[in-house]
Amino acid sequence: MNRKGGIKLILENEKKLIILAKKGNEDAFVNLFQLHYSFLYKYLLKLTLNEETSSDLAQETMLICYEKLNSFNGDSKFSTWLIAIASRLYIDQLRKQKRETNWINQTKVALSRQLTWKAKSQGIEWSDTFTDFNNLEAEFRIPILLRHYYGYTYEEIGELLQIRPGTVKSRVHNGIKKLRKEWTFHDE
Amino acid sequence: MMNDNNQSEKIIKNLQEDWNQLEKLSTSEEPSALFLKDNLQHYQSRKKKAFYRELKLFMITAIFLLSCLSILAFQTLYIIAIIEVASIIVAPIVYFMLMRKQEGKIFDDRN
Repeated sequence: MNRKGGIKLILENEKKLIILAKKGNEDAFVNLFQLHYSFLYKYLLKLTLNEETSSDLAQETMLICYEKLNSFNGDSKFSTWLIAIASRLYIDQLRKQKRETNWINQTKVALSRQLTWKAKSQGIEWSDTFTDFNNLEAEFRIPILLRHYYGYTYEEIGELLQIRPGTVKSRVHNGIKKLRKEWTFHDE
Repeated sequence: MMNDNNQSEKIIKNLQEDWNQLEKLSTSEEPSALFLKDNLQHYQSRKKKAFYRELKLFMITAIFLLSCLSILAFQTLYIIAIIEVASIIVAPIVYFMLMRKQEGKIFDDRN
């Protein structure tokens, strides 16, 4: 079977699972979630840089998704819908953290010890840009990641994050501008 | 301007490489169906409990408010009854006294 046919089959299977899950079939919902777990987890990992936090957020996303499944109308892909929920959850979590800790201290995201160790053992090195990127606020990081890694359009990101496409565009632009400034600083 | 564009492209390329490396590093296995189902059921039972707790609170508040209102309504009726009884008794006396006063005035005028 060619690749196109395979994708079509997967999408059809996904549709069937969504219909069943909407009818209250827990097994179908679990299957549906398992199909997208890896995608969701990897997306969260790129934001949190922590395996445990990503896994916890993925679980929470599943519960919200289960609760709001009937509001999913199929206009977008199921994976996109999951990412939208996960992004909002992540932003909420950061806000909570900010409230709980000192509000002056900006919450910085750094690679977890486990991932640092794994990277070292595999000889992986990160670019300076990666550290600078992870020091950016979530409002810049999320649109940049969605635009330049997942290839979503500004309109799609706007829908995902419930902001105007113009705002998304300016956030991506300003985020990269900030990274460029740091880049020039490193070069000097 | 051109330099800025080149820099941006390089930054994005670097980031994409780092994200790819990060994807390769992640080893988390997808949770088993049993685990996910268990989580769902646990969540549902937690929600059910929260729902009943809220329902209980709602009922208690509603009963409290209703009883307050009905007591107030009954009390109002009681007060109206007292006022009516009092006016039935007091009104003829007042009327009688006013009449007496009026009569006294007439006699005084004649004298």
